[in-house]
Amino acid sequence: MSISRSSKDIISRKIDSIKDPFYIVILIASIYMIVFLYIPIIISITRIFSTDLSVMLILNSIPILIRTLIISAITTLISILIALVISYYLSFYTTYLEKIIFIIMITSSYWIGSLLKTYSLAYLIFLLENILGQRILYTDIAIYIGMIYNYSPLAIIPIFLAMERIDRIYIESARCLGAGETHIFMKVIMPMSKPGVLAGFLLVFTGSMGEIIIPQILGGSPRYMIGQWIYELTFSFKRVSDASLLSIIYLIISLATVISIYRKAGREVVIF
Amino acid sequence: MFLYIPIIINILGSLSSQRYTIDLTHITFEWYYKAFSNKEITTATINSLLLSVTSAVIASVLGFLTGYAYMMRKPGGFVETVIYIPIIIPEIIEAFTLATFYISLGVEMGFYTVLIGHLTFNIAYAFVILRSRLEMISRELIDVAKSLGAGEITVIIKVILPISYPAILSAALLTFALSFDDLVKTLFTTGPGFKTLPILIWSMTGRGGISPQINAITAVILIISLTSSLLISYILRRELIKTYY
Repeated sequence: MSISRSSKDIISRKIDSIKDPFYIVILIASIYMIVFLYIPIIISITRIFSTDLSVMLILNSIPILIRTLIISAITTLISILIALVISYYLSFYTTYLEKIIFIIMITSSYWIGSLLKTYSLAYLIFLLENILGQRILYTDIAIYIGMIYNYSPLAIIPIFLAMERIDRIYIESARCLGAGETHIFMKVIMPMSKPGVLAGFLLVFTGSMGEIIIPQILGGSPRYMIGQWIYELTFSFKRVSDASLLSIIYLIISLATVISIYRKAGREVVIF
Repeated sequence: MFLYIPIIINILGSLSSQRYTIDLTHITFEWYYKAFSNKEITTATINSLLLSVTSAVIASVLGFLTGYAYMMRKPGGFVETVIYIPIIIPEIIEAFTLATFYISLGVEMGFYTVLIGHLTFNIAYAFVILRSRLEMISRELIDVAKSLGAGEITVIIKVILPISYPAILSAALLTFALSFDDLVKTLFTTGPGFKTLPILIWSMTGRGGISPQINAITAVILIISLTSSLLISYILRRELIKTYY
């Protein structure tokens, strides 16, 4: 008998562990994901290199891409501003009970799904149009309103949670040292809620870029944003390869944003 | 909460008899009646329910088993990421790549293609919810049960399930709500024969724009979704308060 473990031992132990039912379950789940999530992604990536890519089409899609980026950027900016204001008020000026109610309401409103919210908004705008006599639906403004309406909860939640995590001691000491409310906000609260702001930025920006529902219902034309365009390309024009290229571009932009924020932030970006 | 204003107005609109304004002096349910005697709409509702319930059940069971297996064996970060990715990835990427996959295979799109797509993100969400709850169960409980002679399955049935059934229930409700309301994923993976309620609403708004009939349908969906999410909040109230603190 040798003192060192023979390789046969190690292999037979590994084989035993594969027969372990728990590993099998985990394996099943992972395989499912691999087959229905990762392989499709890889297939889409390979479609980029196929021969029926139309350069003209891609070049014509660039304005849509740029428009999408602009809409997302503005939406993110405004959503974060709204989130800061609302979170500040809610975090520092309300009672515990009110906060819980608030959290429940916001998360519930998020689970309703954007189709219902957007449609209700469209209906509201429709009614307002008749009252005010102004055309709002099917214009850019409607899309912005819809985007902000749908995505501000996504910004409010992380920022609110970040503000809640700020130890109130800092606020009190700042007050003791004579700082006014504005000063406290700028110098204490804002910097300390940065993780939440970054999380909110990521969520809203990457999420809003891929929107189909809002621009379609509120904008009317199927060519506002890149998500819509990808859908059109795939199902109306059957140009799957071009759509693949565009969606990979979207994926790359999203990943690049996430990675660059993580690099700059250094500290943990807190989402939940 | 101004987030809810459009929704309330939507529901009010579904009750009024006028088309261009909300006229609450003549409350009518005629839109509901019209909507639900429409064959297309009822089929879509049944489709949606079928899809969501199946999706919820499968995802909860699989999520639970995977979560339990994860708790017992702790394989490590890589597997975690593999299962978590659907939550981070924008839904349209998931939807589109899956559609490309189906198209490349030449598969006919229908109920099963949609179900598979839904399960992808549903399993991820169920896993997230159930795993954190299961990890809170102390290992001692399981060891004690085992030392008293319980086999693996008995442990699950008699020990784990009773403790974690709120989490399982809320995972089921969440996946149900997610599947029921889902548009993007379904849009990309469905075929002409299988329409869900959101898809129906989508095509109706594409065709005719706004109409109180759609309001009625959306009101019903709203009630279903809101009830399930409030139920979840109620079930998980203790966990909510714990994490909040």
